[in-house]
Parts: sequence; structure tokens; C-alpha cells
Amino acid sequence: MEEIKKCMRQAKLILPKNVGVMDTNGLIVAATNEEIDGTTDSSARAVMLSEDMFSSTSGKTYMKIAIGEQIKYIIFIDGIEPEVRIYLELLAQWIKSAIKERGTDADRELFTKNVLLENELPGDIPLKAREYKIDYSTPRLVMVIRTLEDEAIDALEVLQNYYSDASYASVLAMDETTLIIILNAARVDSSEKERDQFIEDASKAVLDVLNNESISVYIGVGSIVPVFQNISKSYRDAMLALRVGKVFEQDRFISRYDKLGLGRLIYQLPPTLCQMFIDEVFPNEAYGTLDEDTITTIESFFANNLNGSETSRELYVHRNTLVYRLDKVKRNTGLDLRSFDDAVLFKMASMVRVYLDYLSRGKDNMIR
Amino acid sequence: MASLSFQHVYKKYEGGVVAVSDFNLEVADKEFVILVGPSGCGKSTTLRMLAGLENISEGEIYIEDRLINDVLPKDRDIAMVFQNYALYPHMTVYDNMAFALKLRKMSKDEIKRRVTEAAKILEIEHLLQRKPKALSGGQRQRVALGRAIVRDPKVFLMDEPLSNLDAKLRVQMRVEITKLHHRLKTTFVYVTHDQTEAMTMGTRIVVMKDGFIQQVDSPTELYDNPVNTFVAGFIGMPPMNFIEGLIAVEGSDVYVTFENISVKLPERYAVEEVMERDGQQVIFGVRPEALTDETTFVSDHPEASFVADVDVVELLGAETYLYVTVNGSLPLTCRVDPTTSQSVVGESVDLAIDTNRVHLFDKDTEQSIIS
Repeated sequence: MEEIKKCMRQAKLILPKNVGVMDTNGLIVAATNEEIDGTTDSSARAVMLSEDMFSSTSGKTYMKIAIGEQIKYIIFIDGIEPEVRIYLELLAQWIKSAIKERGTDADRELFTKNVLLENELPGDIPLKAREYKIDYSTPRLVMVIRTLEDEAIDALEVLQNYYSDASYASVLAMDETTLIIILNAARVDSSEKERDQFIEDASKAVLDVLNNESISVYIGVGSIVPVFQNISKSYRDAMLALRVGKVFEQDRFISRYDKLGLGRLIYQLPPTLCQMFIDEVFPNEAYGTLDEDTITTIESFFANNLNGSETSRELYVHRNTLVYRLDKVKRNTGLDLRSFDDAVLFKMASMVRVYLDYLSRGKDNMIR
Repeated sequence: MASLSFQHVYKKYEGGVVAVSDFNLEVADKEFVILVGPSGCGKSTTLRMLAGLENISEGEIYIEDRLINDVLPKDRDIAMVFQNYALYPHMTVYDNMAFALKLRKMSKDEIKRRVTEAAKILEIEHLLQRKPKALSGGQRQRVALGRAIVRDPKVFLMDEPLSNLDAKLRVQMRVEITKLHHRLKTTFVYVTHDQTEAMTMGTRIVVMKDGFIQQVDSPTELYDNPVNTFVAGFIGMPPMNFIEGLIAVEGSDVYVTFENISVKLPERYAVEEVMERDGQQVIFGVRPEALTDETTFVSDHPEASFVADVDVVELLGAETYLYVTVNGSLPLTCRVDPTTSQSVVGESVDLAIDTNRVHLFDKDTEQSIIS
């Protein structure tokens, strides 16, 4: 229906008379006079019963439009003089073209989804891309947007309006909670800094525009790929970023494939190996013996680069309290966090532990 | 219009990271509250929990008397304005402002009424048919505010909304937002890292650090009676001078000594909390404006005066900043009167401390010694 509304918006700027489109029951789906959108025209029944293509009544002229073999719409215009029929005929052709184009859009969207999911034969992709007027050799970036089921439709509408220029970005709904943005990255040059800035700005803009409409989302950002065929790789990267981010970057709403850090490494490890590592570093579930204050202290101690004075200042505890807590960690786990090697071991083991927790909880219990 | 209540709110992540700790705050209806603090202090996380964009790990948040922990963001009756205006580039200003209402399936007449009204409040009626690229930074900011106003929310949430503007425009928009608050008579919660914004706009300020509330007070109270060195150093520009000193008690007199200088403190410091620290180290806090080179004041207060070397003199028109060094090792900043100051770079200057405006902090905990 959007394509018909778009025609009406443009017709309003061109035609000197009010025109509109209704369904065969008389419900006006779009009109240059927006006030009558959604109202019903009682003449529809008479128009449909008439054997003529054109009918005139109550100062208006009506024309039936067939899509394929079936009458689908009735268009109308103010006035009954002969020249208004020319306007209606032109308008009918315009609307038919727009509807046909819409059909092509749906096919193009399906093709793009198939490329993302690697359901197209690689050799067919360049040819089909040309058929659907997709510029094959434009660099692109894929972002995966994960939202709540209740908010996905609004999120899709927001993003489609934000990226209304199809040559710049395509927005697709993959399932009831996942949206995909395929962004044209042609204007980004090859410098690392500019690519980084482009990804940063683009992902931040998506987050802000959705948050602004009170829609909470998590975003996985893939890598920039040189040709259309490789959007499947960018999509895979974005999905991985989203999953790794869910485990290791819970305080962030944007996870970038090129900035996954240690999480990238740990995420690839087999769970049995992770468990062996945990059993070695934290034997007898030693980590579980640490209370909340101690864990907060450890996080702060790491954040302050193992600097005791800074940590005690930050936590508003006496330095002796800090020393006591660090001694307790040493007693319970055998690791002295004041030593760099032990600190590294503790940090890695606590990340592995978070990963194992995530596996045991089940993977899809959050919106990303 | 609504009151807010945060009760023991925490934001914790798996693995032990705590972004917000035991956040308790009551915000009265129509209040303009500012959350301020350095990057990573938890202020944006708190705002996002209020907005529903982030889950609450523990505790409860109420808007009026309604518990909103599990309410969807769009059903919380709030509106947010971000640093990034996030305007729809292909829509007119009117359509940008109307978009959120269209999403909520509001009638066209009501949308038109609300957009017109908001445009009038923001004085952007003449811009309604323009597209965002044809607007200046300030005008875009107004449109972003307009998008929030049309929702007629109970609470406005703003997350660093002025950070994208240049310094001059920021000052202008600061005034505009304050006026808007008076006009709309609605509760505002505003997040910023800029202490000047906080001091000039808020009726109350919440200073945060590392997920903890440090102090909640009016701008004047925060400035005059900071509870710890963090608040004292964060609020005020140039920041407070912190001097490591020793408490010396002689009879009923209390002195702070540093760099072979002994400064006698006023009688209000002759209290148990200070006297019991005789011989102990403290942090002596002196705001730049409590240090003066005014000759009459210096000669009238020999018990609080000393000599320093002038390193830099910054003339700012209405005031002058002196950057001086005491005994070649203690750097201090002074805010002096340009009409009376005769300080010259490279020469020494006689300075005196206005001891009625100084602060004492515990050296270990960094908390204020006298509340």
C-alpha cells in the first residue's frame, strides 16, 4: 500500500485536482487530500456494478484498475469533464508500474536474504544482482539488530524511514526479533582510521535512532566486504560479534567484529577445555568462595592497573582493607593478584567462567 | 508530570562488573535533576534503566507510584533526547516531529495539534517544511527537543544532549533548555559529564563515581560543602587546590602546616573531629577564589599569608588566573581580581588564604572531616 501512498504524495504536487485510490469496497487507501484517507466512498458499489471502465457521479469520475485479470482498485478524480479521464488513465499506469516495482522489490529482498544465508549459488549471484539492479562491486557493511519481539515491527519501520534511500542502505527483517541493515560503504576510503570511524558512526546512529523511539536493541557489526557476494561473510561476522558481545561485553549495546578482544579467543574454545582450565585455576570451585565485595574489589584493582592506592581510593576503603581482601583471594584461590602473572591468569579464568556460565544458562535467554 | 523514586537500584553484569551500586534517589515532580560524573561512572546506565533501555539487576524504580521495572520502554511515558539528534534525513521537520506519534497510531488532528504546539514553544514554526540537512546545529537540537515534547511525556530524559554543539551554541542551548523546563513544568533528568552544565541548569545535582552516588545536593551546597575530594575537585573550574598538610593544635587554636607555612584555621575548626587529628596528615582544600593577592587582605591576615612564585598569568577579562608555585614544589591556582592584581610572571607575590572558605579532608578516605 505504501507505493500507492507514495504515488498520491507525488500526484499532489503535479495534478491540479484531488485524486485518490480506494479498494473495491470503497475504502479510500490513499488520496491527495489526506483528510479523506481511511474513509469510505459509497459510490464504489455502483462503480463496480457498472460494465464501463469509467463512471461519473456526484461530481467525480471513477476508473477501475485491474491488476492481472482482477479489478483491485478504483481511482477517482474531482470533476466530470472529458479531460479528467486522461488524468485517470495516466494515474492508472503509474500505480500499476509502482505495484509491479513493489513486486520486484520483494523478489530483490528475497534474493538478498538468500545471499546472506548462503542459499544462492556463488556463480549466480553476480548475474542475479545485475537483474535486480544491485551494484555488485560496492563495498558493504552488515549490521544485525536484535530487539524484543514486541518492538521488532516498530524497529523495522523506524529503520526503513531512517534509511529511506535504498541506494545507501537496505533494511530487512530476518525473523521476529532480528533485523539486518546492509549499508553501502562506497564512500569510505581504504584508511583504517576512516573505516573505523565509519563503523563507529553508523552503528551509533542506529542505536540512537532506535533508542530515541524507546526501542531497546543490541547491535552486532560485521566487517566491510568488497563485493555483494561477501555480505554473507559480513553477516556471519556480525552474528558472531553479537554472540560474543552477549557473553563478554554485557555492558555494551554495540559489539563490533573487529573489536572482540580476548572474548573472540575464548568463545572459540571447546567447553571441555574451558572446564579443565577452570578446574586447574579455581580448584574446588574456589571462585565461588569469593563474596561480592571481594569481586568488586578485584574488578576495581584490575581497572586501576593493579594500583592499590588508586583502588582503595576508588572504593573508599582503607588500604589495609584492600590488602586484607587481596590476601583473602590468595588464601582461597592460591592466586596473588599483586603479581602480574597471577592477575592475568585470574582475569582469563574469570572470563572463561563467564563463558561456561553462559553455556549452562542456555544461549537464547536474552534479546541478543 | 511525575515524581521518580529509585530504591536500592543496582546494575550488575555476569562476571562481577557492577555499573551502578545501591542507587537511591527521590526526584520530586517538576524537578530538574542532573546526573554528573566522569566517563564510566554509571550516570548513563542509570538513565537507561529509567528509560527501560537497560534491565535493572536489583532494586525498584517508580514513576509516580507505578513500579516500572518490567514495563516496556514505550509504555513508560518518557521521552529521551540524545547527543546524536538521530533525525530522519529524508523527512521534513514536521514529519520528524510527528513520526513517533504516527508509530503510536495517533489521529492526524492530534498529531498536527501537538507538532504545531511544540514548534511554537521552540520557535521553529518557520522550519517545519525544511529537511534536517537545511538546518543549523542549534536548529537540529531544537527539532530533537520538539520530538520529545510532542509525546507530552511525564518525564524528559536527556543524555548529553549538548555535546555535539560548539561552545557558544552550548551556552545558548543551556539557557533554552532551562527555560523549556520552566515552561513545560515537567520532571527533567539530565545526564552530563560537564560540571558547568550541571551547576547552571540543575535544581539538584547527583554526583556519581564508579557507580556510586557521591553526593546529592543543590549546586550551591555541592560547591560550598563537598563531602569528599572527588566532589570538591569535580565541581568548580578551575578545580580546588588540594594541599597535603599536617594538623597542629596549640591550646584551642588549630593550624594546618605545609611547605613550612602555618595557616591558622577559624574557630569553627576547633572541634573534636579536627583536634583529635593533632600531628596527623590531612588534605587541605582551597578553592582558587579563596587565594588572593589583594594587598589589604594579605596585610590584614598575616596568619594565613605566604609567598609564591608566579609562573603564568591568565587574563580572562572579568577575572585573572594566577598559576603559582610555593617553595618551588607546590603548584597552586588562584582566581584574583584583575583590577587590583599586580602579579607579574617571574616575580614573587604575597598571597593569603581566606580561611573561612577552606576544606579539610581525611588523607586516607578523602572524606570531608567537618560535615
